[in-house]
Amino acid sequence: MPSRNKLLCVFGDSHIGSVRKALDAGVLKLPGFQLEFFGAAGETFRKLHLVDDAIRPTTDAAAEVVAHINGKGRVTLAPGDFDMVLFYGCRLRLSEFFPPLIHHMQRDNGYLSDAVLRAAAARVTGDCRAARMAKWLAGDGRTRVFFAPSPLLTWGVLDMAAEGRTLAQYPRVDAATRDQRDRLFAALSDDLAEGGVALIRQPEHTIVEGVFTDAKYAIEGADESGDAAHKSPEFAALMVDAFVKAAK
Amino acid sequence: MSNPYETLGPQAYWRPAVAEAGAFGLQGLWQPRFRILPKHKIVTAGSCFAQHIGRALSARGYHWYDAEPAPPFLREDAARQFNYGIFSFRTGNIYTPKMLLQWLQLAFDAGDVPDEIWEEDGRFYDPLRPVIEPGGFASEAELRAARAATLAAIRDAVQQADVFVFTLGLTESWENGETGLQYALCPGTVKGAQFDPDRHVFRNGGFRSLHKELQAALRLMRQHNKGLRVLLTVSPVPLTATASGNHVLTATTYSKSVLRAVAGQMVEDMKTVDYFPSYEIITHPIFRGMFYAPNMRSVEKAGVDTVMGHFFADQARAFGAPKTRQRKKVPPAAPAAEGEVTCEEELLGAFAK
Repeated sequence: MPSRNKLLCVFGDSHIGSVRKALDAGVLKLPGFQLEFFGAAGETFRKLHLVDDAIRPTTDAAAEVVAHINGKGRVTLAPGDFDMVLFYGCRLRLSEFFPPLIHHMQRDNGYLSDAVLRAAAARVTGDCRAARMAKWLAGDGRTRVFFAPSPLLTWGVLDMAAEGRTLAQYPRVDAATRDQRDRLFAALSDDLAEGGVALIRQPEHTIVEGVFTDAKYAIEGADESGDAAHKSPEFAALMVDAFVKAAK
Repeated sequence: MSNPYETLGPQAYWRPAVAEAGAFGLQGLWQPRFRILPKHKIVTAGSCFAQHIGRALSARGYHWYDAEPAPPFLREDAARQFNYGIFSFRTGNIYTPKMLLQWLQLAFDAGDVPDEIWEEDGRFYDPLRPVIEPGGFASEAELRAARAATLAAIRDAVQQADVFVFTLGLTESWENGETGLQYALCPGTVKGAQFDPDRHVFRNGGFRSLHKELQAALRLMRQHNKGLRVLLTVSPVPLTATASGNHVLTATTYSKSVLRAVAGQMVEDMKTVDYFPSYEIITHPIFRGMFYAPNMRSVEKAGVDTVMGHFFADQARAFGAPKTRQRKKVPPAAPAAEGEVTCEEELLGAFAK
């Protein structure tokens, strides 16, 4: 008897739009999975809370958005609803986690042990509601949970050396090494794993200039919109492919 | 017939200066040699009590210099757990002059400090600061990289500081009998190394050796910062335990007396060195032990407040009150919060019968 398709939920904020586009454009295929989306963008995403043993929107307006994105009328996400849930984006931002720490680590007196990095990662995931939700969902044991954080900002879209931007605040980060990135990903991964959640890390080959995403993965129209946060369907396909490998 | 005492001020006489003044009327206990202003970069290191001094200076708007700050995202409790913000660099407590000298020699590559790493259960421990990371380091490479960061912080602190506050804590220590490396704590009392009676030797430093080691340490710092001024204090915190064979009370008296004498001699030797009598303010019979917690060892906040009250009052008396510092947008570094002084020597208490 052939095995049934795995029920997969891609849960997230505006970043899940790139996954939808990747599927629509045919750059991403998910054989063996039956996929649903669950989430909301922007302020509405903040209205998703853990209430009565399920992740659910807490306002009617948010429920409408969630139902629309899901397309199948689902407005709650509870343990056991899916075989797997991939948290995608969800405001766990690598662009906020990496630069301050790597800037610190570049100093002569800035070496940080794995345990210290792990403590820093614990703070970041602890402050991220979606990461807490992911650990809660995984804790039930019926659902395998994965987390692909919001990727690093796209290089070349904005002047990153302008006031308030990454290189102005953290000028040493463009010299970040692969080893440093590996250590930060490992810290995040270990912390999430302790909660039963598997990290899907941004592929190394997509990273340029220390802590940025290669311009070729910019969202369409990024130059005009100045959107360095969101990525192309091709990037989403890479991330979901990484998830599929991890899920196997 | 005249005599030299006739022209002395009231502070030279016990009756007016102490007996009549009472514990809270004492004045002029310290005649500071140099002015310490809020703008000066102040580095603190040494025994547990130095933590109080750094914190009190910071609370008054003085520039306590943190040369090895905690990284972003680390919560305050986690930062403390990893010994960030306790002293100006992440050495943990430095109880003896030789420990200070060893750290400085390593930082400035100015002497042969024996190399030794402890390993237990697959984790690695730095004998110079075995409890700096809860659970030790993941590898020897990690230990060495972390130590290199601290040595860089020490270099920075010494070179940048206007004032280096060092609190002398103990005369008793444990060393590697073969190499002479002095440990921060007795092997076997903390994780990392088993105690080996053939290799680990007890040392109770005397005046000559401690003076020589402290002198070498201060000279080394001066080589790298000609303008550096040093403020010595002696920790009023008694020994947790003694390995001298004597009663811990008399061993404490010996230890503190020798350290006090060394500090006094250093002031005589070097014009850039001063001694601040926090030890006397806490321990003197005039205060009837009132600043100690019921265990007669830990110093209560009131004691620290009184000590620092004398510090600021005597600075103001000698040099005038400093102008109030303009609050900057980014406040200067502050040592870890009140009430949680990190005293590794406390670990010895766990071995008390």
